[in-house]
Amino acid sequence: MDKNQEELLRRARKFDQQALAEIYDSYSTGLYGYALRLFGDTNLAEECVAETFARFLKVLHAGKGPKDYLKAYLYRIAHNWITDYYRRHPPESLPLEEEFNIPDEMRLEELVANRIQQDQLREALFRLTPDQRQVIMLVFIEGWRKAEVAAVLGKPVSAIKSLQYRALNSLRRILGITKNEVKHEAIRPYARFTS
Amino acid sequence: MKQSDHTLDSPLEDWFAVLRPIPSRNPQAAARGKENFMTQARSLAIPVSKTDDVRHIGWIVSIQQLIRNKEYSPMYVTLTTIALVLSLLLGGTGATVYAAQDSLPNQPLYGVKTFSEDLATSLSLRNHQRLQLELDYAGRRVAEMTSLALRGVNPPEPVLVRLEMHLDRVIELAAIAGEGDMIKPLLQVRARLEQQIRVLDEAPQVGSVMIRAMEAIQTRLHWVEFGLSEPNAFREQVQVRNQFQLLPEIGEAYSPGPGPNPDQEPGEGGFSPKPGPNPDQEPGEGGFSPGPGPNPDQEPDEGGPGPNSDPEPGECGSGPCPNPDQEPGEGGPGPNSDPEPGESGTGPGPNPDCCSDPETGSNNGDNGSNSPQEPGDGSSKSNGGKP
Repeated sequence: MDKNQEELLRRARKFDQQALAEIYDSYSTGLYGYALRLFGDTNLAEECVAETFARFLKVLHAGKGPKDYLKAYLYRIAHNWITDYYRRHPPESLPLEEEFNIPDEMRLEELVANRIQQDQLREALFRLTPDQRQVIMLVFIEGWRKAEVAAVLGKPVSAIKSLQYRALNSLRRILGITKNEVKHEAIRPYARFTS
Repeated sequence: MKQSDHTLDSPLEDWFAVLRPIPSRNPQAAARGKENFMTQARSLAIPVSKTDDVRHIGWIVSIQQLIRNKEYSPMYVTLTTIALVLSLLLGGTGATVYAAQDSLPNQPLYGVKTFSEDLATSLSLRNHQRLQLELDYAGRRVAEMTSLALRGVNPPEPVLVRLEMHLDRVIELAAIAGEGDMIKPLLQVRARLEQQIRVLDEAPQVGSVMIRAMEAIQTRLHWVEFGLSEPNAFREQVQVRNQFQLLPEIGEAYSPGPGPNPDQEPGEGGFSPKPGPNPDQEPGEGGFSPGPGPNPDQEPDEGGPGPNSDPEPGECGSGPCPNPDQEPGEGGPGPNSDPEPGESGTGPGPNPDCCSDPETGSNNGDNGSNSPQEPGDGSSKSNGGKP
């Protein structure tokens, strides 16, 4: 952890308003994207961000909190909140959101196909274990390094590799993809709409 | 994204690619979220006092911070070890002494109890404090005897010995108080002794120790009463007694004498509880002839409250002067029916006036008596002549 983040955390523990605002600005957008990719719902994503930072304030108030890796800590909170949410509310078909900025050049059928594929992938992700899901999300969607993911999960990098391997196999099985399969129209739901 | 971390086959990559792009966040929602967060942060700002968690375990944290040093300090470790060992030793000893305070003579910790009492007495600097302690310890002995008697156990002899020791020290300490300061402690001692007699009287009489304890207390009570009536004589008697280390008999010395000893030679003093410190005392010497008193086999030169029918001038009898008609200046115990002028008697007998007049040469060396001597001694010890 660099000195700046260490100093930022030290000030945050003293509830320095400026430090807390800086933390919010640094990580809220990334957390929002992470939650939105998993939920597909902007309201839920905002709620996830709000809950994540509220829990962060509580642990600071209790004299606890992250010692070294704030980003990993926040994503862990967000991930746990999402997992808990889906335990209480099993995933349903998500409606299209007004807030989605639809590119002008995207045709309607592409938009629908894209959305369907997103839902299918989310459903497949939520059939994984929470750790497997987080590994897939952070490594392949968010683009984190395995060492960073290991910090979030509190596990060694070798365990992350193992989780990733099993998660990918499970996803292929769920999505009906063979490992060496080239792009196949049949497994791409939107292909039915675009063909 | 590092390629080595994310080697993925194309179909899955296509699936994930669908999820990567996200619409930009609504700025108003983001602003609201931040505002809420900052509001929460302000409300949860650290208060003046510590948080509950820290407050409830604060003492542990303080100790940990005290112990947790960044640098290794051998001196600190040594001091900590010494402090720990001392606290264990002193704490354990203190607990043992405390636990021993309720022990009885037939219990293992009784020795600790008496040791702690002796230590406390020796550490007390003022006579008044020592007197109070001795009085308290005498009361303890009486209470121990009573407790044992209630359990049907005969109190052991050492308890009686210690009781007498405490009582004698009380008498001694009261006697060395100033002239004006003697009355108050003596009154207190008298009240306590009377109370102890009542306690022993009400307790079941198991064995002879109880009876002897009561007699010992009564004897000291007579001493105290004598001290209240004749403070100067009392003080002098005690001093002389201390000089010859006869304190254990001091109380008995002043008990009323056994009456006339027909065999006592003229000129012999009145106090002869038992062989005294001066067995070679010549006839005509006052006071402290060591004779057994009323012992019919008593030899001449021996003391005792005999019927000194014709004491020589300058002789001193320190007996209780049972003869109410005794003239001032007459000495010796009561039966001296015809004392010569200049003789003296010092005993606290029925005629206390016999010792109060300085001209009577009461009991000091002026009249030849070099140790306290009472008529009761000889009778109570050797002849059982207690009144």
